[in-house]
Amino acid sequence: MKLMQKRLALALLTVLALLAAACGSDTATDETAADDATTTTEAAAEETTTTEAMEEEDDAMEEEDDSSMEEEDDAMAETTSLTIWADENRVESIQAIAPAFTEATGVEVVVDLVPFGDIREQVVTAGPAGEGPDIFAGAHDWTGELAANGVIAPIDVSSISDSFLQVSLNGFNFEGDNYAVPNAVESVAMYQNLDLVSETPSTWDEMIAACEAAAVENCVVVPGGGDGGDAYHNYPFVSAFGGYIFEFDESTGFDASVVGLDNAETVQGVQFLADQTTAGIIPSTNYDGAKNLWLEGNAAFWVTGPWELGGVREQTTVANWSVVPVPAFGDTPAQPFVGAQGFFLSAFSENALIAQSFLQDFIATDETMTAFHAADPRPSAWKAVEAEGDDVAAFVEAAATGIPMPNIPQMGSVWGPLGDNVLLVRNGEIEPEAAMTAAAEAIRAAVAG
Amino acid sequence: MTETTRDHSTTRFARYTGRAFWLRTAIVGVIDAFLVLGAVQFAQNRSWAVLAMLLLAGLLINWAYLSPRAQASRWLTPGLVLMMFFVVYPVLYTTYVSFTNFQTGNLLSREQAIERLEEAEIKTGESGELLDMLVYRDGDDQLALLVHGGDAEPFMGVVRDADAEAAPSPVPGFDPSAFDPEAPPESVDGFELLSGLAVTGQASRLEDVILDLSPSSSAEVETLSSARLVIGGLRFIYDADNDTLFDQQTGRTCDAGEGTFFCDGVPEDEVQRVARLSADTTIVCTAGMCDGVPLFALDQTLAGWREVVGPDNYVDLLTNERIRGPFGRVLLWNVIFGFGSVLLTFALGLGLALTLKNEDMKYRSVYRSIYIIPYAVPGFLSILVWRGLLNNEFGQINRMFDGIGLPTVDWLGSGNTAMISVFLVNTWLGFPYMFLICSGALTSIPEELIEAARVDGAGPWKVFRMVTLPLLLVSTAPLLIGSFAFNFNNFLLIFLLTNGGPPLSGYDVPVGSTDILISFTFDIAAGAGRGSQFGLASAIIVLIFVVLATTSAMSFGLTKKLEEIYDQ
Repeated sequence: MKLMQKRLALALLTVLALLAAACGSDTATDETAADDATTTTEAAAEETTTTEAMEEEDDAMEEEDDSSMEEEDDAMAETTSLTIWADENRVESIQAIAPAFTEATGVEVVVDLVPFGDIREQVVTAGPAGEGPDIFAGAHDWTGELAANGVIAPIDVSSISDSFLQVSLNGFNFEGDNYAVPNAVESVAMYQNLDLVSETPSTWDEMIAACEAAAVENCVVVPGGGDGGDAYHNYPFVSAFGGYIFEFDESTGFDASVVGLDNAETVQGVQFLADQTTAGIIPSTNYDGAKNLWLEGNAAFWVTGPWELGGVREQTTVANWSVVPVPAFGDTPAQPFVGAQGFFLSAFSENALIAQSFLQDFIATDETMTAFHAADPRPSAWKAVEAEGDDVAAFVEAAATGIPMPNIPQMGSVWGPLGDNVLLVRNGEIEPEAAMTAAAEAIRAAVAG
Repeated sequence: MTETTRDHSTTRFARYTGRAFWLRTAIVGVIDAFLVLGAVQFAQNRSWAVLAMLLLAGLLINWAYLSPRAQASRWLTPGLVLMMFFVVYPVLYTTYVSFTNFQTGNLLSREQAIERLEEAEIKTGESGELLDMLVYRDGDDQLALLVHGGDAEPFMGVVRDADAEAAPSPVPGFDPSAFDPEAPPESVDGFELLSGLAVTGQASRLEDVILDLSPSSSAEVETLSSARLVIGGLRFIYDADNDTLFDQQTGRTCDAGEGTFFCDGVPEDEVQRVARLSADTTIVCTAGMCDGVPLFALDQTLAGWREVVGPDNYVDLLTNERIRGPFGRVLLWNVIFGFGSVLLTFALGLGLALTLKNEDMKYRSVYRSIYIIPYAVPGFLSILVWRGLLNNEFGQINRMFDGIGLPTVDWLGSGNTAMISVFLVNTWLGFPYMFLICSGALTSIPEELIEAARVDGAGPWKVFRMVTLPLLLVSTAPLLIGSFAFNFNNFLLIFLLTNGGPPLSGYDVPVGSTDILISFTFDIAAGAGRGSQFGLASAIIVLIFVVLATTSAMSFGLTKKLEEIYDQ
């Protein structure tokens, strides 16, 4: 038994040595470690001395801190800090303003780069566990789900609301409260290959005529065919003749209990899409197929959003191109979905006040908003920022005629059925009316639970 | 103690003070250090289950490597510890989640959810107006706020704690008529104006205080320089003794139920039809008034909590038509896919192995190397390349078909061809493995047995069927079972090649022709449906586990029978 004891003591010693080394900066842990050491075994005495020495060092540092902030309250003694999660497009602009905020308020700002696709999922799990950020970047269609999960808190922007495009604030409004500081808006438009078709069409028929005159093989490429359903890019067709997903009312917002996908207007729009596919105007392409066809100069028009601008500017072999809004199908302009990007405030933030002032006084400024726009070509939601280039201006125009994409949590049950059924229509597997009835039934069932 | 045992322990002692002993002790020490660090973190996060497992693992490791008596278990311990963390714990946790309502809207713990509800404010017309705010502090460290702007008269008062009784206490020395927003008073009745950094220093205190403007209105600090006007106050009062929630806005009392509070007597037009109703919840409406209305059906921002709900998810899975229909279909295809893949890869692999067994064949090693190539290329690369080759309009295969005048096939675009494509690609990916194990197993079959069969007059087919194949199956059957289990959950292939598609129309959950259970589950859990339903997804995972465990057990029984044949 003695042997076992000796060994245990040795193992404990090693543990303590490592703990002391690992937590050199964390005073609290050091203290417990030191306490343990004195009670465990005499042989640990050496160890304890080292730990104590380190503690003294820490204390000395704390005293220094205290003296430098004499005038501050005790509350500041424990360091307050803000954690911000931003995606690759926005992280640098945030990092640039962090030092100024620290200087002005004394609050440390930690900016983490989290891929855009991961943020939504991670805040939902990290927030309740107390490990999430105070502020995070996101898209407006997350609002409903995140608010329903209680992971985001309302932000009051009423004092500066005039500086934002109204459509961006609408996007982040859920059940009457605003949940984010918007920084950009987005909607689909068409990239036009001017080498193939030179004149800008104002209606869909003009566009077809121009394609035929120029004998273009692929007139307009739209994601959502082939093997990848995509409700978002095909929405202009759904709404072409007045169709909609959920009924919208100015005062109460979207009503999830009224699904409009199987009404006559929507079916007419999807029938129109089917006809275009059959006639060969719209080839059967998924997202990457559409992109490659246009980038390589094999398609005249490409329906997609401003997030592709950077890539197009750098990669395309097309010499002359421009961006135009999706042309009108009948008498009314096409209505793509308008989305918004912005910054949410976590409901689990322990420094909600400081986070609010960061959002209002440092993010909602001309400089920061200009920096966002410079880093990411999406049109700015901040009115004072001017669109950089004609192509961005065309996206601003497209966004102006679009309709806000619903941000209610039930939207989660729309993308699958709608995208899938539109895909089946485009592939000629199913009739438009049957497809839209199936989509609407699936959404109704999901909404009702 | 007898002489022999003492000798024994002395030699042991000598062995345990040697260099190896010190090294081992040091390594165990390092491991312990990490375990203690981890334990502290898990204890802080209140993850008691993981903590318990960590401590158990720690005890096991220390006992196995420090106690002389546990020498035999040293080889087993690393495996046991890894199995605990990566097999046992996930299985137990998934099973636990499958009995909860963990899903969109029920992510918070009960305490967190009630805390949220207690913070909710009554929404009225004037409420919510934003006022400019200045912060003052006196010698006794009392805080006072001065709010101005909006239609209201400037007001300065001492704050109270959020949970204290409402009682306006204006600062008497403040004169609203003399207030100038451009030049606010530096000092009033001993209260000094704070600015910049000093206000930030008070941030954590400011979050918990309220400034009462009058008995019925107050201001809550919104940012460091503004406060929000609140008329009417907070919406809910939680009664912990009765576990009920009083709604001040409507005067209703709601009872705690499964995952949220449920209110009675709600006008029908206030109720929103939203998802997340569990299997046994129903809203009953009579004459325009509804009973049993969960809070989230009144306002979706009123989040519920997660809790154990019993077998609801399993009941849902088996009785709810909208889930059961596609579930049955997916399960059937999953079984076909699993068996089919094993059969095809094994047949092709065995065929090639038999062919290459022929010693008269030239360049055997060259062929062997070539057949390994599909196995050596990372699977996800091959799958993406195949996806490109099979593309309907731009894929090489269809271009070739077109070139030689054959009709093109929409490989991934319609149900049956997509299934064929999945088998095609999976056979390509899987046959080298079967080829390898069959080649090995064939060499171990005694040549004289085959000789004897030939002498008895059996043809090549009969020899293969009666001698080679049964003997081969004895050694390869466990691997075939493993291959089945792997293919049954071959998420990578399905996700990358077809992503479950082409979609099936007419079902209420997103499902495709080539969806297997695991990809179907992924869609349910990761939000392609209605938010994230971790509970339901976990229930499906548990069913997958049951299917696999049963199949494996049955197959091992079968193997035993084969071994008996071999023994005879």
